[in-house]
Formats: sequence, structure tokens, C-alpha cells
Amino acid sequence: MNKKILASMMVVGLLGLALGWGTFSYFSSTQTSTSNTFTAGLLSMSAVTRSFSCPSTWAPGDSFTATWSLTNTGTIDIKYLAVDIHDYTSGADLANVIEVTEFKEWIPGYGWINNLGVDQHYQTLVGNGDNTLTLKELMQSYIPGTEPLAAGGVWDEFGNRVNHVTDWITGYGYDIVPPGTPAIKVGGTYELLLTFKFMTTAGNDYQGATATMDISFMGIQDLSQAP
Amino acid sequence: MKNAKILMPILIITLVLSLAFFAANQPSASACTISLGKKIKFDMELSPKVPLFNPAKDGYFYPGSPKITKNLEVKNVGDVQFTICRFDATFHGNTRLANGLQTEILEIGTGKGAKPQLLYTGTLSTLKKGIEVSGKSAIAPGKSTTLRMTVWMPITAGNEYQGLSMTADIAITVRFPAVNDGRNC
Repeated sequence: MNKKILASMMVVGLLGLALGWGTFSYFSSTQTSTSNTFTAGLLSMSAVTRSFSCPSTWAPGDSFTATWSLTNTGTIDIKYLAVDIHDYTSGADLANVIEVTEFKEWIPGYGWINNLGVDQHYQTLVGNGDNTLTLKELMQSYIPGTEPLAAGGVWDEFGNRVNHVTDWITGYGYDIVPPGTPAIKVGGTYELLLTFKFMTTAGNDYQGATATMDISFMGIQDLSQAP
Repeated sequence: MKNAKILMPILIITLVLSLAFFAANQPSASACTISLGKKIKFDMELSPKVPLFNPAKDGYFYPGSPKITKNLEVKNVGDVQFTICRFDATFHGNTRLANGLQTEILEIGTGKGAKPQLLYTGTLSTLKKGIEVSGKSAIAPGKSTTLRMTVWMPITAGNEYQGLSMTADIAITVRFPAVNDGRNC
């Protein structure tokens, strides 16, 4: 009889212990830091404005200047501007007798970058090294070679097979600007200026010939995103 | 009879322990209790009371943008020490942005040479589910500890986050008493 009573009391005691442990808890208090706002920047550029036309009477010895401009309409600076020339054609190899005598970029807040200046080292890095930059060399690559490549090389972010992934990036590589200077600050307008000269050595083979090219501009924030 | 003599002390000890646990650790219905005629207060405050993160002051996030770090002071304005035990967040707006933001929360304490303790690192979005953490130390009444919150957008983030904006209410929960026994809040 005593055993039964003791066993019953033992069970009740163990249940009590289990219940007590299971409901063991703490007080707590919660406070909230409200309305913390996080906003991602917007990287946006206006449509490229082209400002030139090739003179209908363009002949050997003549020059004309072409400009392209685009504005940063986003909310953050465009740190680097990648530029790519592609889909080019050159009837009768016309581009090979067009010399690029001026090649400048306007960096808002900084000024002009003269890409043919000594500081930019284009004379040694671009083309065939003969101190004359032709439109063909410009269209093909800033790295000596022939583009677009049929095989080999690398695919850039514009979908072209090229010799080098950093063909042309403003604010890096060939372009020398003060550290921290963005290629296009918010609200700023970038301009690309090229002056073309029809070489005097060009003969009748080039009469009526046409060369075309597309230029793509891509704003990026880090070199790892570079083409 | 012999068994009864053995069982009796065990039974008494078990009953005493059960009653002690059950009576001493049951929370009252309110956040306050009466002890020897004195009302004990359990409470904490956050400072600053204004939003920590503000793009008008901090700038916008973009892949690889500078990390933004803010300090949040957690002060014990009650009578019992506590530890930080949980973070929760409620999001509003373009909440997809929370997937593209990394967050690190350190408890740096206030003592001289205090070593920071990492409480959480991961995406901001994970805080929505609530995160149980083990606070660095017990915060005595009248004392405070500092949470250092850092938010950044990794370089690998893509264009899908461009122009998104969201707000987050970040809740800090502390528990009393400050016992580090691995249990939840």
C-alpha cells in the first residue's frame, strides 16, 4: 500500500518538475529603430547625341570634327565609362586612309583628356606604332591586333570577340585622370571628340567609298564589370 | 518497507525542486512584479531615436559602394540586468533590395578596450525571419551597450537592384535576467 502511495507521489513530483522546467522563461523587452531607409543608386545615361555629318565633298586633305555626347541622368556617379566600337564596315578599306588627328574626351568636372597626348601613351600602345592613328585602327582595337576576331580572344560585354577586355575605359587604363574622379558625375555631360582627316595619299580607289561604325557606351561602377 | 525508506527522501527532494522551479520562474502577467514592496522595472531604450540610415546623408548603395556604419546604443533603464537576445526586421517599399544588401551587427560594448562580438552577418533580408543571438555581456541597470550596424552592397550585386528603395524597422529584443544559458528569448 505504502509502495503504491509513494510511487504515485513520485510520479506527481516528476510531472511537477517537468512542468516547471518546460515553462521556465524570461521576461523580455523589445524596442524598434524605425524608418531606416536604404536606397540603391540609379545608373542612367541620356541617349547619345551625335553632332556631325561627313561633308559630301570630302576629299583627300580635308578634315571634319565629329562629337558624341551623353549626360548622366542617374543618381550616382558613373565611375568608369566603357566604350566599344563594333559592327563596322569599310568599303574599299576607306578607314585605312582616314587619319584620326584629334581624339579627346570631355570629363565633366575635370576637363579634356587628350587621348593622343604623350600622357596617354596612345602613340606606343595603339595601332601599329607608326604615330599615325587611322580610323581602321580605332575601329579595330586599342590593342594592336585585328578585330573582330574570328576565334580566340575574349568576349566583351558588348558581345564582341576582342583581343583585350579593357579595350577602352575612361578613367582607367590609357586615360589618366585624378584618382577618384568619375568619368561622368551626376548631371554631367561627357563628350567624345574625333577629328578625321582624309589622307592625302589616298587615291581614286576610294572615290565614293563608305565606312560605318557603331559606338556603344556603358557606365560601370567597378572595373570587375568592365568589358 | 526498505524500499519506502529509500523512496521517501527522493520523493521529498523531487517535490521541493519542482515547487522551487515552478514558483520561482513563472513570469507574471505583466512586465513588472512586486518584491518586498518595491516595484521592479524591466525596460530598455534605443538611441538615437531617429532613423539610423538615411540616403540623403549616407548616399546611395551601388555594387562596391562604401560600407555604411551606424551605432545604436541600447540602454538599460530598468532595475535588472539584461542581454541582447534577438533581432527582427519589418520591411516596407521595394523589399527586394534587402536581398542585395549585406549586414553585419557587432556588439562593441562600452568598456575601455572592449572586444567587439559579432552577433550577426548575412543579408538584410534574413533579419525579417528573426535572428536569435547571444549578447556579449550582461548590461547592468543604468549601463548601455553599443550595436555597430554596417550595411553594404557587394560588388557582385546586379542591375536588378538599381533605383530600388525600402525602409526597415529593426527591432532589438533583450531578456531579463541576463543568463547566458543558450536558451531563446
